[in-house]
Amino acid sequence: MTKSESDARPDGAYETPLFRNAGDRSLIIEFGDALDPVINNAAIAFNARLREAGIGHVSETAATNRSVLVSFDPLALSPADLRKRLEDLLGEQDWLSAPPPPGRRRWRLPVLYGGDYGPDLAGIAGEAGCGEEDIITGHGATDQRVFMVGFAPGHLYTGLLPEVFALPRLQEIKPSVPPGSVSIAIRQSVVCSTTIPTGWRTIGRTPFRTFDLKRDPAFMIEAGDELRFEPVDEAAYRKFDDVVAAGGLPFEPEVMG
Amino acid sequence: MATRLEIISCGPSLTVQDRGRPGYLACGVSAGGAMDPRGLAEGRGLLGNSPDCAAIEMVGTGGRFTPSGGAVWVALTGAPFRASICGAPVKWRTAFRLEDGQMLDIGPGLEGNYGYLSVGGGFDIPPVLGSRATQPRAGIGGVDGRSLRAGDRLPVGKSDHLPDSPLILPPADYFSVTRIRILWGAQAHLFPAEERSRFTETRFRISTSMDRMGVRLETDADPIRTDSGLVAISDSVVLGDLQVPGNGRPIALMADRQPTGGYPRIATIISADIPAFAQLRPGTEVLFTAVDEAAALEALRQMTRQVERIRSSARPLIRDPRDIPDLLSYNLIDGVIAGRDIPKPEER
Repeated sequence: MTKSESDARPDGAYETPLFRNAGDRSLIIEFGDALDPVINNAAIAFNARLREAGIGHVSETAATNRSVLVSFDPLALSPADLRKRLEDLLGEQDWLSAPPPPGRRRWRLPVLYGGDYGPDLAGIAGEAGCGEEDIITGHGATDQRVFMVGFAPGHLYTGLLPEVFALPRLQEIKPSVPPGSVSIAIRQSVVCSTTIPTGWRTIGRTPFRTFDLKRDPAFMIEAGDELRFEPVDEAAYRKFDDVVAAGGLPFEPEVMG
Repeated sequence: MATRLEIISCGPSLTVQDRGRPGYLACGVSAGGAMDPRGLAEGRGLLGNSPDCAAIEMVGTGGRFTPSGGAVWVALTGAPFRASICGAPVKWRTAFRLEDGQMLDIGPGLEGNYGYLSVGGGFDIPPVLGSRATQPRAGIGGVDGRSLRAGDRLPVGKSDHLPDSPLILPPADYFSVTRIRILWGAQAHLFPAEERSRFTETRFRISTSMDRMGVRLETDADPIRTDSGLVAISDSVVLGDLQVPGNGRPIALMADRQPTGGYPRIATIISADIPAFAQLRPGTEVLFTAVDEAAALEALRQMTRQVERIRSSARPLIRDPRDIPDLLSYNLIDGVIAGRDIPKPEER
């Protein structure tokens, strides 16, 4: 650990990114200590730069909410040499003001909200003192960036939603929610591709699967991409479900500049 | 006809595992792979297999296996299990030729948790996302993404590097290690210095809540607490991370961990001690010792070297069981093992 603290700005971003220990085969570069689009974009932009740099003996990298994990073979590349190399790349620009990397894609995700598909929607509307329609409108009001993919294969974390979605996760973990479930908490949405347990509040379901082993490529969406949640009725959901079952996509993605 | 290893019967927790599938973390898939990478590598080394070969990982109990369509070279490594060929006991840490139709029975584990059955040439099943490692929860890899079951017939690959004669390895030295080395973790700074000290002075017990995802640790001592109970923002976790949830009882994250997590991680088990930690049985006490990066890498270098040399450290298993089937049990029981021996089945 080069240092454990850095000067943090009011938004939680560090003036200088921090190296964090992650065992003897990985290290973490942390850009801030908050769930924040600027910090997250720094991680995504730096991860894109790392991929481009293609450092030898680095086995994989991954951008997350606020950091980048770099895994490497420490018997072939010394941790000190790797840190030096990473420091050089970090010094190339202020990653907190870096533009998002090119080639990201925007995905339209049809969502059937409420009812059996979104059992927690009514409760959220009740707590907020508004109608379910208002929550649905708020959820799709702005395009949502994929902050990271984690927890399970193709499990997307997106952000940031309006304040009304600043809700804690549930006390009780639901033992399982089906693939395609769209759930919210802490101003983030999560979209799963497999059956998972979750403590997030499920408001709807999409026929889209970002992970499908029967499809090539098996994974579609990555950190930095954007999602546009579009409410659909049951008939439209069924139609898209058939398209997906036949190996298709509800909508072709749009490549962003 | 292709040579296969057929599973006549087996326990519930057998999976195909290899060295894992790095490269899909950014898609939400952790590397997975053998819980005891050393046990896996020793089997591979004994048989002269390539590094990407997969083995059957067994926990609890094994099963009954038989080759069809030809003989199969087998290596048994990792945690020792009671084993016999057509009723004649066979020692662990051995490689031998199993003839077409011969029955290999692998019973309960005797020590440790995870044992490996490797075959010469490896299992010739299609890799999924670059690996044969099974992650049953995600339905990825192995045989249809699931645990193995009776009736599975696993095709065996071809090999030009098989041993000339049966081999036995010196006894393993990592099944009774209870001092596990750590590096301080990504959120160690969230724990006050006295809590970090207490972490390395506390004897934790391996709980019964342990599997390929993680190992929960118990202690009668006070919970390990963070400064102001901070919960970290979710980001990537790594193999061997020791995360501390609200109840202050650490959980070690293992091969099939979720790739991201939000509990503060106080420390990470060094790579060289992952095999020993994975083999600790529930109820065993463990003490974590902090080391520096140089020590962790030196330990990894040593382990890697030892595993690379494994075939040269093997000794002949007396005689070829092909020639003298009657002596198979005799030689395998009273053979070469010296020093800290594996208890014979009948002593248990």
